[in-house]
Parts: sequence; structure tokens; C-alpha cells
Amino acid sequence: MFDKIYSETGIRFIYTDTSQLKNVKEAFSKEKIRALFLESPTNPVLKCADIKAISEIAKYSGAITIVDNTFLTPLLQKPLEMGAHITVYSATKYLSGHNDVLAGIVVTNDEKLAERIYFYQNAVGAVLSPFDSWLVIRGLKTLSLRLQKQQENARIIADFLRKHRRVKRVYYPEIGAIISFEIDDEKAVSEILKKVKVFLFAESLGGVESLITYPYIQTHADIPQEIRERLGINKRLLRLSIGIEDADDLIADLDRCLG
Amino acid sequence: MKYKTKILHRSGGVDPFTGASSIPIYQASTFAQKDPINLGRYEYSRGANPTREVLENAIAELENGETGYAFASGMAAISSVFLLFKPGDHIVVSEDVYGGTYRILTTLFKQWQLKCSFVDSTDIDALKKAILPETKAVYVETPSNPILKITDLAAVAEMAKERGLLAITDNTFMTPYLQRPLDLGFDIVVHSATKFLGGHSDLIAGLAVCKTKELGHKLGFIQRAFGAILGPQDSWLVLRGIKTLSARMDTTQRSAETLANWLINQDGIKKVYYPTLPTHRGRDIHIKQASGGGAVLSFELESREKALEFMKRIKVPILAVSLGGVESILSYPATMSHAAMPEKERHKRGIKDSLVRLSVGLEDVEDLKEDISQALKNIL
Repeated sequence: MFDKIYSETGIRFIYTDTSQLKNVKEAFSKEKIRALFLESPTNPVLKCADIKAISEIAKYSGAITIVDNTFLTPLLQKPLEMGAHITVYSATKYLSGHNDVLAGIVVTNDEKLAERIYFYQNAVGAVLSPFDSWLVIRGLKTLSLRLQKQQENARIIADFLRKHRRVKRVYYPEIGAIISFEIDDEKAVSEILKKVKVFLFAESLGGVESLITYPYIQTHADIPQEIRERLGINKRLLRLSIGIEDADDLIADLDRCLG
Repeated sequence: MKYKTKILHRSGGVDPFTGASSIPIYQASTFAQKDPINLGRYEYSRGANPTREVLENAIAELENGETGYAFASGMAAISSVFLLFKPGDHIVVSEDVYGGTYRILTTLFKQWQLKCSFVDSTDIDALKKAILPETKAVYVETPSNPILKITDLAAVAEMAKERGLLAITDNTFMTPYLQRPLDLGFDIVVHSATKFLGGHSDLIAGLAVCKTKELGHKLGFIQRAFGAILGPQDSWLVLRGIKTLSARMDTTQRSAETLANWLINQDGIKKVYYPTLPTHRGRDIHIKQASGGGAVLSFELESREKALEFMKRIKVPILAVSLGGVESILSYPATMSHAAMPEKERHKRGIKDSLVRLSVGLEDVEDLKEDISQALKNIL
């Protein structure tokens, strides 16, 4: 969307690895930057950024920091308290948590930004309906229960994967409930995705049911090949969104499919 | 198939999997896949949702277009359509366009260097004169909101074709039941489905229909990328509303016409605007391109103060923003639909402070007359 829609309006975008503070500093030293948009952990290889340090650099240069906090939710990470100006969420994910609603949320603690965001919300009209608003609220009530259990399961599964002979690399930052891993052979991917029984093979994350996703052709299909490769999104990479099932069942399912 | 039958059979019909008499609400964000290479028809609900898709197909069929798209609001549909253009492009727009459309063009899209000129679209020569080398589209509303000025759709479409422009129209006031702009040569039709299509003042929704697949692909990309989509629950409510579109429109239109003709002769009413009134400018063009005057009329009282007093005294219609519901809705354009337009611009367009707009509902027309009479008497 940045490339195909917004860049045509004259807004320029630079992409950099925000998990390395020096990249952020370098970008600010070279360009007049108005805003910094980051995800931490990133999708799907879960690189983490130092939100506090980055926000400080941005603030010093008069730029605003926008954090997509979808993966951790305010339960595990509060970017506004770390100096960010705006937090955005796909509330489709953990906040609603049941894979049954599409929604987005924007939060700010800056009154002037709030006024402008509200103006655009009303003027552009991309609003959330009352029914879907209610579904998100209903989901929020069990956020802490769900996410704690999901994180607990994720830690167990990450350990299992790290020990598995067919798994070459595991990405898990020890927080949250998303795990990505690389298997030894891309030819096995298709088989795994067809064989899973407890995991659902579907695009999305953050729901009570565990999902397995193939980023190369699903979530990141629109990103050019060379960028995908550079980001580590290759044909051997699979992403798991861990749900609240019994961890033993999730492990048994993966073990059977990995062979 | 006659149009009334088409409305029923295309607005959902029967669920192909179960035979259910109403399309299920697929309240799902994602869809489990069988094969990693050949993904199924439904992958993620932002891209396509089965309930939303039934609505999108229904509106495409009803407007006689190729592809339909459902959005979170009328403005989300309109904003998404404007995203088809690039900075530096120029659009010629009806001067008395809906206040929200005026606002988005003069704020967000202006900031993005999408240029526009507002002209009286009832005058084809004025439209032609406003065309610049970088003009890419013409955007009109007819009848316009709130004084129901009539633009000749076929003439605009012909001009657009000659000049290589996209012709876009907001068909909210008429609905495809009364007016089908794509048949007259338009390329894109947008709707606030919140109004007559939904029809019950219980949802916010927008729709857009493209005449060609090629244009549809472009708008479809924007819908998926920008994501201002309509949820399944609201998609279902719109489908439910469309089922009674013809019955509602027939009744409310009849009442609106009766009221318009009656209002002309009431003391305290200075002017009445309704497309099929014998005195209404553009009446012949309207009758040529639409099969009725619709259910919205507006009228001027003697002064701003009297209009304000009238609105306070009215009892049957609800005083509210919006239109097109089963209940009559009385609105004050100066502070409601056209609040986003500066006073000077509003007055230039003939939207006086003494003007009120009435969207006629399903109440007995005699009750509406009686209510208007008592309100008028009390302010005289």
C-alpha cells in the first residue's frame, strides 16, 4: 500500500532494518524524515526494535513514531509509554482473538494528532461497524487469559522446534505467541501444510486456534522477491500462530508432519 | 426477468450450500486452505468474504455493471474511488456535491495534489469549459443534494467519452431501481448504501460498481490494499434491505410526490424542490433518465428562524442527519449534510439557511401532512 498508493502522492518511503539502531540514526542523518513506522517484533522473522531509543531519535528530529503493536498487544508492550506517538493495531488478531472479525485500531496520546486522526476517520469514512466493535470488545475481555496461555504454549513449542532435526532455524523472541521456523527442504512444505490436523492452514494470526501460514506465498506475496529473500522470507519458512490448545497436541501434530 | 423480481433474486437469493432462504453471515477473518499453492476462493476476509461477495454481486447486477465492491461507508467507497487517480490529475465535480465528498476533495485529496473544479453540472457547456489537459474524470450527482438539481447523465457520459474521461456518479438518491447510470454510459456508480439500499437507518455502508472488468480490477486492488471494507453483518443487513427496495421506493416516492404538490400551496412555504414537479428545472431530463422523482424533497421557509422553529415543532419525522430510511427524516442541510461546506460556498449553491430537507418514509402521508400543517401554523 505504501508503494502502490501513497508513494504516488509524493510521500517518499525508505525501508530500513529498525532492529539495528544505527540504521535508524543513519536514515535520520541523510534525510528529512517526518515519521517512522515500525513493527516490533517484525512479521514473520520477529526482529525486535528498541522502541524507546528510536522514539527519542525521532523526537529529537521532530518526527513522529508510529508502532504497529499487533503482535504483542498492550498486554505485553506499550509503545506510547516508550515514547511513540501513535500505536496501530490489526484488531483482527489478538485483540479480538477469535478469527471472526476484521478491525483496525489507532491510539495516540497527542491531542493534536488525535484531532487530525478523527477528522480523517470521519471524512474518509473507513469506520468500524457497531457489531464488529462489540465483537472486539467481547474479545478484549479474554485477552490476558488467551495471550498468557498462547505465550506459554509458544515457549514450549519453540523449544521443541529448536531440538527437531529437520528444523534449521527458529525465530522466537521469547515473548508473544508467533514463531517462525525454517525447515531443511522446501519440497516438504506442501506436505506439511496438507498433513496438519490441529493447526489450521490459513492466513492470519492471533486467534484461539493455532494457525500455520506460508509467508512466501500468503502474507508476503506482494513483496518483491529480492526483498523477501533479504528479509529471510524464503520458500522454507513457515509461521505459526500459537493458540490455546493443549501444547502436547500441538507438538504431536508438528512432530507427525515434520516426520 | 422484470426488475422487481431481479431485485429479490439477486439480493441474496438462496444459500447454494444449505438452501437457507437467507445468505449466512460468514463472520470469519480467515479461511482454512487445502493446498499451499492453489489457495481457495476465500483466503482472508479483507480480500473476499462470502457474505460481502453476495452483496457485491447483487449491486453489480442491479446497476448492470461488471463488478461491485462494498465499503465501510459511503465516504469509504467514494474515497476509495478517488484513490484511482494520481497526484496532478484533475476531476470536474458537480458544484452542489454531497458535503462529505466536497470535504474529502478539498482536504485530504487536495493535500495529495488531486485537483478538482466545482461546476454547475446542469450546464454541459460549463462542464466542458472546466476540462483541463490533466482532467481524468467527471463526477456528478443527480438529483443533487439537497435542492435536487438535475444533470443530464447521457449528455455527461457522451462528453466524457469524447474527451476520454471517466464518468462517475453518486446514485444514492435514486438507487438502481429508479436510475441506472451505467446504462447511460457512466463508468462508475457509487452509493451510500446507508440510505435507500439499506433502508432502515440501522447501518453505515458504501458500494461502488464498475462498468468494466478492467476498472473493477483497479478498484478491487484498492479495496483489498486500503481495506475500508464492509463487515459481514452489515453486508447481510444491506442485502436484507435491498429485498424490500422496490416496495419501499414505490410507497415513499408516491408520498413524496403528493407532499411536494401539496406543499406548493401551503402558506409559509416559499419554494419546493422535487424532481417531477411541473415547475422543477430539468424535470424533462429527469423523467427521461429516471423512472420517478424519488423520496427526497426539500423546501424553503420564509426565514432561517422560521425554519429552525419549524424543525422544533415537527413531530412525526425524526430530526436527524441521513435519509432513505423507513421513517421520515427531516434534516437541516446548513448544519448537517452541508456543514462541511463553507457558508459562502453553500449560499452560492442555493442552499439557503431557510431550507429544510425531508426524506419521506413509510408513514401514512395524511399524518405527514397533518404534522407539517400544525408545525407551519404554530410558527406563522
